Amino acid sequence: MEKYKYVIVGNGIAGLRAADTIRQEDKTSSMLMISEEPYLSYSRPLISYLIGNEIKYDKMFYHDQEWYDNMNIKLSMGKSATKFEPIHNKLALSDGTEIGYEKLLIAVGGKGSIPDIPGRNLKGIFTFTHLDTAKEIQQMIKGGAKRAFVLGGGLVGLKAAQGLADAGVDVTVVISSGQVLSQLLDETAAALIKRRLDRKGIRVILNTAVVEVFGGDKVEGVILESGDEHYCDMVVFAKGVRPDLKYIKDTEIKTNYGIIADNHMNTNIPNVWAAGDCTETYEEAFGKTTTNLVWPRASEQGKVAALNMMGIPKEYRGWFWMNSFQFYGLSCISVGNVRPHGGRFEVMINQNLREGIYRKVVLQDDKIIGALFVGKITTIGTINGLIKKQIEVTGHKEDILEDKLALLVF
Amino acid sequence: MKTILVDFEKCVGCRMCERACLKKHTPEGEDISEKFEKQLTKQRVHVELAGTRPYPLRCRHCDDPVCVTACMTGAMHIDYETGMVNVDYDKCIGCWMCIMSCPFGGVLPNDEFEHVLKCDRCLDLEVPACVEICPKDALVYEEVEMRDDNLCIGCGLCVEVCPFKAITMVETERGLKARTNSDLCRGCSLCASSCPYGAIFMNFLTDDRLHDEVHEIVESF
Repeated sequence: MEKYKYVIVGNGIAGLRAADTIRQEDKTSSMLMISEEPYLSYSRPLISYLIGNEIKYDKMFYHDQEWYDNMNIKLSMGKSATKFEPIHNKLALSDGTEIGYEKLLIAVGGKGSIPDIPGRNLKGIFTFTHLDTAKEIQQMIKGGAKRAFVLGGGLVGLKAAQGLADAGVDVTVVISSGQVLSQLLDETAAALIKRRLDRKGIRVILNTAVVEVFGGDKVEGVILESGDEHYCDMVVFAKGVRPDLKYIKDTEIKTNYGIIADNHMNTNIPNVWAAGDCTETYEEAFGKTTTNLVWPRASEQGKVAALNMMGIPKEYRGWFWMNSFQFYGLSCISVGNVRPHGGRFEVMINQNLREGIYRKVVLQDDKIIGALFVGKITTIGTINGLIKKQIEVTGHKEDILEDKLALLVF
Repeated sequence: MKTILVDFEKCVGCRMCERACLKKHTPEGEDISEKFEKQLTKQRVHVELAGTRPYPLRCRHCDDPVCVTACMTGAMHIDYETGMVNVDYDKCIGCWMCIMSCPFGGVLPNDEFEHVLKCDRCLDLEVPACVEICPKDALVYEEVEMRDDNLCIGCGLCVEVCPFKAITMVETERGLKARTNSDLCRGCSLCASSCPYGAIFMNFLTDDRLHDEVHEIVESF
């Protein structure tokens, strides 16, 4: 049985950041990274950019093999870690290879889910999380696929739609709520984004859902709640990504919706840590223990886990609710609570909707608790700083949207 | 290691630093006036007003940069050779995660909104363009690590702890004194924290220094 001091399951940003952090301090201890996919580490959010020909294939990758060699990291590719035996400090790969460890980090990430509707197993149905999916979709487009339905109006769904549209596919997005990006935007900002998508020929249908996918062995179309049938060649499910706990569920490692980790990223087993999208931690922004599948959180958790694995105590302090994106030149950043309910909030708005500019700041007790900027985004970083540090802005409110608050952050 | 520091008291908001930065990062012969007037950013530094006081914002090349944590393409990275935070423009897709995360306002979008721009410290110049032009010396390019020879007794502890072998002991008129090779120094501050005589200190924008700045500005209102 091979034995390593550090074993990291997962080759995404959480695992990678952990490996990098360990190697900044300790160049010699043995380390193995286990990648389920037969690829070097790549950035999953870039899949839509790859399909849309916005970036080249080689730019998908975070590091080349040389990096792993230089870092003295052994990389196992194309095999899953299937059998975890934390009591015996070992695990087994899908081909039966047994691997022992002193310290284990689980950073297996998440997986797109397909709801239980008729036709869910047809060929031409995809979730939008893996590089192999991207390659299959590219093949289908080359083979003449013309029409696609994207189900889900979150960031993954809309980015998938943009990528497909850029590749020349006719795209329709079906969203069950009344607006795009309902977790991130208010109605006004959502309308601006939708208008931009409309202009680029991406159809968005709101307030409905797909109840069935039909076809022989491959997708031929979808049926909406109204009973309307639409023909298409492929369907992308972007209805949320879940922690991938297939091989963890029935082990001694405690899980709920994700793997439960404390604020040192430690699981219930003393020499097993968890980080990234598969992990459930206490998140102050939500006031509870939860998963939160965003990139910077995974990266931060990987670093914190690595430091603790090396015996350097470091606390994970939770990740703030925020995201940032761009659709066809229209930039948008949403930080904190941008859709307040109730009367205790003060909302300031500065907008020029015709120009595609919309800037909104939400205050509570003279402290900023949320900001939503569309079009003009340059000062959001400093406002983000004001939110995080809970700085009172009494007397300077009119400056906030005039970009005059920078110094109060520091 | 040298870094760009701001003496906030001296800044008068003339925006010469913006103009110099824009010129430095624009191909020779291209006219910058229009871009500058229209506030299209090709410069990496910008002057913001804090109340009525101007303050130049620029990248601090942090030790633990949030922009790198937030970057999902690997475009934003730490260059361990120089200790700087740099962007690979080919990899940047313009998702603005770094702009969202940086509380110092040190990252900006380019004028076409294709990728981000940030301070590259003009490494091909001896002194960064913004510092060179600043008529009020509000921007300075200084050593991060400072020494007080009066306190240094030449014990050599700093030489031992320096992970970059940047410090050597030199015989001077006043006996053995520590000297730093600024090309090798990464500003990690190990020497400062280990010096038993307090002879080495860091010229960073420390929390204390920043608090002082905030204090000054609050009082100036």
